[in-house]
Amino acid sequence: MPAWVPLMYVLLAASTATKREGELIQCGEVQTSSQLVVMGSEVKASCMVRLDCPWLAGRVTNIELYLDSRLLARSSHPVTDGNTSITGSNIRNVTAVVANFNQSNAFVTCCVQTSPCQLVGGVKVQAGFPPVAPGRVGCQTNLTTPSTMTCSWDPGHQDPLLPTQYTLYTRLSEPVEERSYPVPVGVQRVVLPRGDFVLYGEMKVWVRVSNALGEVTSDPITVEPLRSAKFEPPLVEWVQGVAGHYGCLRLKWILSARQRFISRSKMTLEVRVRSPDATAWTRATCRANLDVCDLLHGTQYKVQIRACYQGSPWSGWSVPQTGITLEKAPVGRLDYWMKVPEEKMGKLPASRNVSLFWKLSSQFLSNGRLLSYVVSLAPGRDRVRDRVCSTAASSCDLHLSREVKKVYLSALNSAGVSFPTEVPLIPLRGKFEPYQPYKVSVYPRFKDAIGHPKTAMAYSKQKAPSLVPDLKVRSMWLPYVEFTWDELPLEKRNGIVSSYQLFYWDDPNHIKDASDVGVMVALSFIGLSLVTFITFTTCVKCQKRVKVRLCPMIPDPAHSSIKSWTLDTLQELWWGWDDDEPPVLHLSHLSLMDLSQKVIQRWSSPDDTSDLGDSLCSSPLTPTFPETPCGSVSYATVICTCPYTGQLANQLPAYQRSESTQPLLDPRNYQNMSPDDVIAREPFFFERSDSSGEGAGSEDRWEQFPMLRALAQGNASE
Amino acid sequence: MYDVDTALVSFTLTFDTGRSHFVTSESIRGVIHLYYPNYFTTHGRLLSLQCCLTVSVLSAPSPHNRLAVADPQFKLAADRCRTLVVKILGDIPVVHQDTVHTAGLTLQPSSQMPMLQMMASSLGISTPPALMPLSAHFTLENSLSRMSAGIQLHQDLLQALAPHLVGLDDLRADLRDLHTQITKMQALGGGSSAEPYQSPDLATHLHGDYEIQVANHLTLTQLRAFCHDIVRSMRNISAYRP
Repeated sequence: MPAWVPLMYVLLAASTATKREGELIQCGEVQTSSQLVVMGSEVKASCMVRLDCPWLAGRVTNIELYLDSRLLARSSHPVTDGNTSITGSNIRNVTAVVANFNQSNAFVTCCVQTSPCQLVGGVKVQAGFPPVAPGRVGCQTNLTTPSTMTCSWDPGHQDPLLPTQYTLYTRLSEPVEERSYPVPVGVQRVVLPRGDFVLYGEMKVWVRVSNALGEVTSDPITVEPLRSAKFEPPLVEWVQGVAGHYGCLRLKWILSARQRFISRSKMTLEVRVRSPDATAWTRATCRANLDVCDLLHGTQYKVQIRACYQGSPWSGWSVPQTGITLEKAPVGRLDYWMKVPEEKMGKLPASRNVSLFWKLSSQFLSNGRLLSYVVSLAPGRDRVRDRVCSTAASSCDLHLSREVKKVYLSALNSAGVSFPTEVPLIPLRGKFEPYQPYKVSVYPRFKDAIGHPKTAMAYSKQKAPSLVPDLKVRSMWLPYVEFTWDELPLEKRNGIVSSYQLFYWDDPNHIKDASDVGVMVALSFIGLSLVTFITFTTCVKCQKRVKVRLCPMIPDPAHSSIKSWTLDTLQELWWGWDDDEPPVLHLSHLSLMDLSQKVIQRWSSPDDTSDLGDSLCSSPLTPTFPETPCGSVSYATVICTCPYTGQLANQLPAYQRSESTQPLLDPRNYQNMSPDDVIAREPFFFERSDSSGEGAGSEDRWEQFPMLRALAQGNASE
Repeated sequence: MYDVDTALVSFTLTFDTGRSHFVTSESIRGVIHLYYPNYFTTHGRLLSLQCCLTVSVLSAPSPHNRLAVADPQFKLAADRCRTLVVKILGDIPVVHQDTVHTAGLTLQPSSQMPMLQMMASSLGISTPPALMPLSAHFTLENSLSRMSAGIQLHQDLLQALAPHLVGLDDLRADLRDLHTQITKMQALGGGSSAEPYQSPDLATHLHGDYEIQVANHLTLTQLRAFCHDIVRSMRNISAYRP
């Protein structure tokens, strides 16, 4: 049925009315139990029809009662729950009950079944929901001029089709008064003037909601105006450090002028602070006398406070005020590194120049503004005469006596001097066993990563190797003899093997050094096996000389007595050492070659190791890397140009170098160690162990290396 | 027994300074003069001390007063009174600035007060009852009832002015709340006496704007002085120890 049809029914019904005094004035009339009901409730409807209505003129066969287009009842054959009754002779009544009326509105119409059906009346019935009690009733006092109290509530889900009326009620306890505040439709708040609430007087507040289907009230709340007041942001008059209260700031504050009548002792404060380099505010604890404590020393803080009164809402945060805590002496270590110019062998000068650099460690606390750094010869913080440098920069060039083994680095602020950081001037510290190999790794430290280390082997003290290589003849073809030997076990080396030397003789009384005959020696590492070719060759320039001296004397190497060389026989060759250790002479394999025949593999330039400018713990041991001089003696390669001049007779044997404590870290001496060597990939510096698990237990050794530990910590924190 | 020590200390301090805590109010001066006629004519220290000793013997709160003062509820009400009086004292300058626009009627200094005494009488602005330190002759009941009467007086004065001026509502509400707390203190103090009070007839005398302005100025000025007296009285009351 179209929407306009029910309306037409009503209009048509009106037109069927006939006026008869004292009687049913219409031909028909529809009545309902209520024209506004609660959604889902029962609705009774009836239709009365005058049978003698002239418009009907006796043509009525039956009467039908509709709810919109739905037939509710019919007089002749009652439909659903309707029934029909005859009241008197002229009026017929049809009734029906709608048990669950769940439409927002509908028309009940009555139709008299003539031909066609004639509408005799209709009634509009509406259904809705009773009001719901509002929630979250609350009031907030505004201590402004004039003072007011704003009460609001959550209206909840009210029937949108029914007009809803809200009324706020208040009941004062002293004096006892009850007031009501009708609220315009659509408004959910009431502003009470100052005269309608009593300071320090409790007041009950509730909201009543009503619509055509009923009314309901909210649960009353109890309001005390001051405890419901949102105060204006307080004013911080000043913030300052207080003598004797380190790490604290004392602040003085007041309430705004309009709210100053409230005693500050009644207010609860919350304080938050922020240091200049902080990105967020930090809530702070507030002690007696409004001291904000647990702050960093000598630090400028911005301070804000907010206040509330005995459970009232928090005020806004105050305008920030700035204060500086008292300074205290700096605390913590300084990270340092050194630059020591390389010193040549021989007699060392009585003094040396050291460039010392430093920066604050991550654990360092300035506790104020650092004024300068002090480098002293003694750890006493007050001994001015021991100071060798005082600067505001982060480095010092020191000219120190060689007797000075360590210096002390301190930071200074207005409150005092930090505990000195000991700076040893010897490269390494720790309990290093003599003759034991240690690997030293230098890690380049970049901004966001740590690069691959360069690793070298070092000994705190060296001596001659404990074992002689087992010399074997690999091949022999006149006039050549090729010898091989295995690499010495690491634990037998007692130092860095700088060279091998081969002696030979045809006459036991005339032992010769192979190098004396002009040879080129080269060692080639293949895996762990060292194969050395010793070739007595007749190179173009040397051939004559060798032929003369060597070739005729070695008629058949297969029968050479060199095979039977023993230690006993070699003892005879001993010419004495300035060493308490029993002299042990080991023969080394030699390879004679021409420089032009071998391209020496070198490490890449040491300049590419790191970005020391960003280093957190740049090692003071970092060596300088001057250009490697041509012909320098390397760890495992002895190079000479032909004609080989050999080692000078008045020079000490090469392996005496193992007794030296001179720099062992110069990478020049290890350049032909394969980059693939396991040593180069060591994660950090540790005492060499023969066990395969070289990295095992390494963590335990971190304690001995504070710089590397700081490096690792810094890396971990990142 | 009289609490001689307490009173002695209180009044020694009072007179040693050469001024009484309770003589700043114009309304009280006559009362003090009645009790101690030489005070305002002799400013010597010796005579002040003599007065001090005299008062020391006479002044002593009753035991009931001491118990009431020690009551936490009484203390709470007194503290609230203090807060409200401080609020009123803070509001008066603001209200005066907003409502009194006649030249010469300034709150600081109230130099025209002597010239306005006749106007005050003609307008029917009566003075509040005098407040004095507690003594055998001026008990806690007396003090509270006079406070109540004085507050009621100013409530009535402001009520008469309210139809003519905008901005008095907050002050009136504060006075109402103060009166509530004073009434509570009276109940806790067990007092039943009421100070005779007659409502002023200000409304019938407000014929023109000038009268309204003067009456408002006089009311605010008088209220401020009375509030100061209440503060002093409260301090005096709270100084007693059981």
